[in-house]
Amino acid sequence: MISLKQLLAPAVIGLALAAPAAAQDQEQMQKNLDDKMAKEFVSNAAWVTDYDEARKIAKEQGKVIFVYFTRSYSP
Amino acid sequence: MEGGLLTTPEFATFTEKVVPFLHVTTRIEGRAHEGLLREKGGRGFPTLMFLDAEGEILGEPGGRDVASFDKTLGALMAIKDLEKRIAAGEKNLDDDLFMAQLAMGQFKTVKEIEEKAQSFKKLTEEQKSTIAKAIVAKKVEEAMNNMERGPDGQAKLGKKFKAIYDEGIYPEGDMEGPFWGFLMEYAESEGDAKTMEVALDHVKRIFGKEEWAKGLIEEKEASLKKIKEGGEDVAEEEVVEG
Repeated sequence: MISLKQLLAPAVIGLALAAPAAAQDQEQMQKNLDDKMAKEFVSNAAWVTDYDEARKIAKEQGKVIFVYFTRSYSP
Repeated sequence: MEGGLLTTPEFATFTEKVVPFLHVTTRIEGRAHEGLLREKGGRGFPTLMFLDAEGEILGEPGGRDVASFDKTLGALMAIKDLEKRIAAGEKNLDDDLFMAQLAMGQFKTVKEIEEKAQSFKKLTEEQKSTIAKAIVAKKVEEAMNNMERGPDGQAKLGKKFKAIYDEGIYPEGDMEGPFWGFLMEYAESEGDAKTMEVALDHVKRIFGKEEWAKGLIEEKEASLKKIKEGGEDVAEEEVVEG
């Protein structure tokens, strides 16, 4: 079961958010990302996956950016 | 979410009104913008937010359904419209813009909200109430961001939330869940059944439909029952002794 901290205190995730994996795990991390990008939800919308590109399109089309932040390193 | 909402035709239709940007934190070394969620103040997965073309945060959706996404988008467009009208010289729109920005959480600190609010001489009771709620939500957010790690930090946070609770104004929006959750924990640790019951009711309202929350809620209900029974025992003993 997920702990209360995980459920209700997302702040505690802290530093773990962007910490890179050990070098030997890099191959696995790439595979995890590939698996994530193959999921059905990714093909359901015209997602832009590059931040700079998203900002460029927003500027050109006068639209706001809707970001969905997710992760691939862990389920 | 990825197996549900984000796969629906309604969501696909919504994304046509915005630039849908998918950011994946991968832990792959050297990947561009890997730490973007953290840069934007995100605290967990998944996180949803609206950004402008410069990458500035405009707001977060009020809920995790397409209707909430649409509602937030509508509010953001209304702010954009007010800004344009003010820039074009239209008068008496500053308070409308302030209230709209407040509703979207576009102020970064309690101080910023308070200073801006003071610049308005005439505010309606409704506006005052909205400001008070926004200040409380920001106080909760600031307390969360400054939380010390470990059990002590959690206890201190719970104590702060209890003080806010005692003042009678509660946060709405994103800070609701953490507020009631930590308050529930704190009240449980203090054996405060009355506060725990109120907080647990809010946790059930906010997270009750979520599969992952069911076990937690059951556990807390059992704990509350135990605290109440303990309290009743003490009361009975007191009566006997009296």
